Amino acid sequence: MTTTFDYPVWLRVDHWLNVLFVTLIIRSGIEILATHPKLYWNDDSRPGSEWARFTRKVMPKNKLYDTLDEEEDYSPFISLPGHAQLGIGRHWHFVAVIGWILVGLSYYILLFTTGQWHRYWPASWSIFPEAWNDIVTYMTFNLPPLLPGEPLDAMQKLAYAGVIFGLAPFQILTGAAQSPAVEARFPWYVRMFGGRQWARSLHFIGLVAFIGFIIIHLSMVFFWGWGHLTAAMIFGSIRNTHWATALSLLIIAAIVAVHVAATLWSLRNPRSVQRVLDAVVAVVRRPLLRPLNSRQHYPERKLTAQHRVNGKPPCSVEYKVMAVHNFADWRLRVGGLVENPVTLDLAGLRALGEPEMQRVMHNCVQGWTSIGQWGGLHLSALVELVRPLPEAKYICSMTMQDNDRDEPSSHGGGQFYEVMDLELAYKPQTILAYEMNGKPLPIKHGAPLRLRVETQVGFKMAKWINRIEFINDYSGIGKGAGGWREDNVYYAKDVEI
Amino acid sequence: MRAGDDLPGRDEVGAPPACGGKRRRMPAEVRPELVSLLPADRDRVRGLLTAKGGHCESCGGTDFEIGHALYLGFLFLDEDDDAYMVALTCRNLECAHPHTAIRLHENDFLSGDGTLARAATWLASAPPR
Amino acid sequence: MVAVIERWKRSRLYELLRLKGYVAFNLPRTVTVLGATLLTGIAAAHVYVLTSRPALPTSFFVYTAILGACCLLTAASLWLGRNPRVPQVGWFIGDLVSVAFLAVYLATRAMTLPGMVAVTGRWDFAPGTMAGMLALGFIAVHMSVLLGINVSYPQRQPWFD
Repeated sequence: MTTTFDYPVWLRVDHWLNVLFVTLIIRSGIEILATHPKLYWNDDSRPGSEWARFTRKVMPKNKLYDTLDEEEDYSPFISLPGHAQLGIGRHWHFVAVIGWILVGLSYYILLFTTGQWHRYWPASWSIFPEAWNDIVTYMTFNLPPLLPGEPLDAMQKLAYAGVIFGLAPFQILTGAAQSPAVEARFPWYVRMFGGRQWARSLHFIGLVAFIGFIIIHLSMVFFWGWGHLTAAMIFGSIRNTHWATALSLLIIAAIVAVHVAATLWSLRNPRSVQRVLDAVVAVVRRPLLRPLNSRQHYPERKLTAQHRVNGKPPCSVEYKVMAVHNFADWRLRVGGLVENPVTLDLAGLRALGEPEMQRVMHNCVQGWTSIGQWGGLHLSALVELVRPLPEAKYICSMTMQDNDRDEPSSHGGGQFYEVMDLELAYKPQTILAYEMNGKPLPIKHGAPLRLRVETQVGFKMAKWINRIEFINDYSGIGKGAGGWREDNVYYAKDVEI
Repeated sequence: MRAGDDLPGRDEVGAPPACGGKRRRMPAEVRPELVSLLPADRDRVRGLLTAKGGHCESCGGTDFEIGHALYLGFLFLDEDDDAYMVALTCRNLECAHPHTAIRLHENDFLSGDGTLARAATWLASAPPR
Repeated sequence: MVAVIERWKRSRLYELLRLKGYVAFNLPRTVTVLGATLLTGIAAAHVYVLTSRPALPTSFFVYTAILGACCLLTAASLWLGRNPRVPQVGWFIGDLVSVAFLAVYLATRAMTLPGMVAVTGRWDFAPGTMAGMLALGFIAVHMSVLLGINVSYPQRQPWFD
């Protein structure tokens, strides 16, 4: 079958939808980068070892700093929505990715079923010397010839093939490698890219490649004839080129309007953005990622020397006095919708079962990672002790941290708490950790007790816990979003990605 | 001492530097941030308690067992760079809340170098090597 | 001289060019490989012209030899890291070589030289455009080093956090 390389309506529609989704992804991706604007080649995210940084901040040497202190505040002109709103940025990123993948899937299916894939995929190796000749021609400030019977020259064909069949899937694959659920269940997948931070760095390089492609693509359209080419991409053939130019600018203006609306909506009413967009993302996230269980067993030699931290220890006198007495006076109150509420000290908690030890990668929502060894009680052992009532659906971990007092870099105040679904308590490697790297859990990592839920992003793993409540509704706790970060930075409650 | 200059770097893990066989203040085995005090340090703490009229808030007792010390300056934003907390346990067996502590500056009670005590707080999470 | 540099570093243009300090990379070897490659590329483009176009005059041969030697020696000097001053000076010499080439190239676009009709007096000359891009690229890379956006071997960014 000989395919005519025309511009069918599906190709044109997908093209403009692609423009919308790619630009949303880029802006929201820059927002995500802003929350930890440093890129590494090592999974320890070792301070000072970054190969790129996009921040002017310098951290103190004599005081504990955390990665909240390192967050940057970028302008809404380059990031969506801007102003260090990571939670909202993530929602836009994942919704746009879902849209982009759906558009991409439709594109692939239609490309291959109609034979139009030949417009991008080279038919012979001669494309390479032809592409080189095209580059030489461009360097004489002339336009090279189109390939016979095709709407592209050789260089353009190679570039489109590279982006559609190479760069786009590459971004999806390196993006997926940054999901804690994917990483926990398939550590080999992340290792394939060189590690979690390699995947992140490569994802950033992919972003730069996409921006480079867009700049060159727009230049090419301009030099080859804006009116002609936009006519092809709007009307399907080269006609009414002035109308095409006007319409193309209108379409671009509409896309810009969507960006402006998304930004304003996010900055003015982030709670509704959180609710609406997370509902969309959850449709995909839940069935795809919730079933995944952590199977991480990193070797001891991979343990990070200086595991990064987020959040600062409680500055209260009570906490400091407890700490200097090795938390002998600390008590964990477990109650709520349970048959058997208990109050335990550390010895009592330890006595509930043999400690489980796991060497796992910590995936912070900001993008950094570290590998640590955690030891503690599997959460299900505590659940079985207290016997939750049938109506209990969630576990709420409450902590001794008060963000007003303890965390100047936080986006709000009040007691830190996190809510998770009860089913997560039964997943492998979900523990209440009281040990780290073979020693009692350090103060900066949540002493005397912290949560580990390895298929979730790091902020769910509450530190400095002193109370656990089994509940059936979290709307009355804090601001009702299911956790302190959900309340104040508008993250999703379920964060397998 | 300028902060951060002469202390074991936060990316240096492993054994503390050798100090010629002298008795030295070691991180406590109970938890890595706590350091055991030398007898001379404890004597100074006791002297300071007496001088300040320190007493147990729960029972009013003035006889304390002096425990470990925790360097506060690194971990807690609201503390001075040279602040420590020293564990005190009221010796009154009837006391309902015997565990208390006293906040002191490094030069007040530590004889000699506070290097190890400070480093204990940021090396607390270092993996075994 | 020091005062001039200090004033320059306080200027708005300097802040703008260095992207206000928001972008920085710690890739000294990559940057140095890039710089050396760009200089080598300028030499290679001239050698290509020499070998692909017969009957160019001896003057062009001499010009290519001198320019090529300067490019290659300068590229090599970027790796002599034992004394950090050597590669530092090497980068500046690379700037001089690039500017000198660009001046010659631009001047010979405006006039046709005898015996070199095919390579002078015209803009549609691909090897020339390529060499021009490489020269501008080298200057841009060195600028990025001077602005602190990049570092070159044997320096490293003094990051600890």
